[in-house]
Amino acid sequence: MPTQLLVPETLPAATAAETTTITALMAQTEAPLSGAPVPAPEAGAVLILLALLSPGEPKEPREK
Amino acid sequence: MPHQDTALMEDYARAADDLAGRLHRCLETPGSGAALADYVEGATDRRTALAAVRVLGPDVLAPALFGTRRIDPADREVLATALAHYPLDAGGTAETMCLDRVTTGLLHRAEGAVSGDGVAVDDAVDVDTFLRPEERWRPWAQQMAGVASCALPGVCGSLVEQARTRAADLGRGVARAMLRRDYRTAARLVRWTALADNNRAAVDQLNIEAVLRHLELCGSVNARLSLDVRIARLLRTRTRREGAG
Repeated sequence: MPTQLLVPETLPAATAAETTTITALMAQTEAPLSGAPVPAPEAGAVLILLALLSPGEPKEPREK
Repeated sequence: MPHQDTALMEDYARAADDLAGRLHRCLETPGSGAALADYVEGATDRRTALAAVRVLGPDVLAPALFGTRRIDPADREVLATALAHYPLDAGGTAETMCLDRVTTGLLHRAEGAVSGDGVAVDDAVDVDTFLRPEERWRPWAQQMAGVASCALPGVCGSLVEQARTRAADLGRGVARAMLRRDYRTAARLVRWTALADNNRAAVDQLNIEAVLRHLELCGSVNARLSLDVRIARLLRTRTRREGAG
């Protein structure tokens, strides 16, 4: 097994961006609250209002 | 974030997911999966592959610790190279120092260089300063999730003792994470509950088996989550076998 391929001297030194990225990936932060739908009872009144305000059915065109 | 850093984050995250998937397969089917050295040497970008090894830290030793794959000298050299090439001393946190301490400790045990009860982080990190025992359960549980890669066979010391002492708080953390659909945090806390073997009553209030099943069903596309769940299952089996013996 050619282990000299893995020897650090043959690889350029890690940059600050690389070590910062690794630190960020190792960190396990809390996930943001899920975007899954949550029950919102107050939305019912809004929906009823929108239904009342919506335009009515289009009338059949009169034959000319 | 500059474009180059975003691309770097994506590359390293993808490589870490790829390596996590390989480790998961190795844990599922003993003897399967490429050795670490083969993985790095076969990668198109060795630096990225080494970065993936660095990110996963102690978890790359999971197959050897659970007996599903031997770790040979070339694999140990890969891990040592990754640690040396990406030193985090300057920009590291207490959590990364814990993870590094466990990685090097387990590596030395695998080499037969040290013996004893297990690897403890206490000689490198003052655990009580960042994981204060009197801390409220929510921030405490989040910090335990941050060092959950230390929840492996052969690890002892303050981290494990805190997991055992505050098993009920681990359960609260799992329940909260599941309610928030933060499945990664839930999986990582379940790893710690597996080590709280002396406080089964507190842990069993939460149906850990149901939690694990839910995580397997909902999180199977996330490689690192799947790896945490697999390790949690193996820890539970191992802890119960040792308790029964």
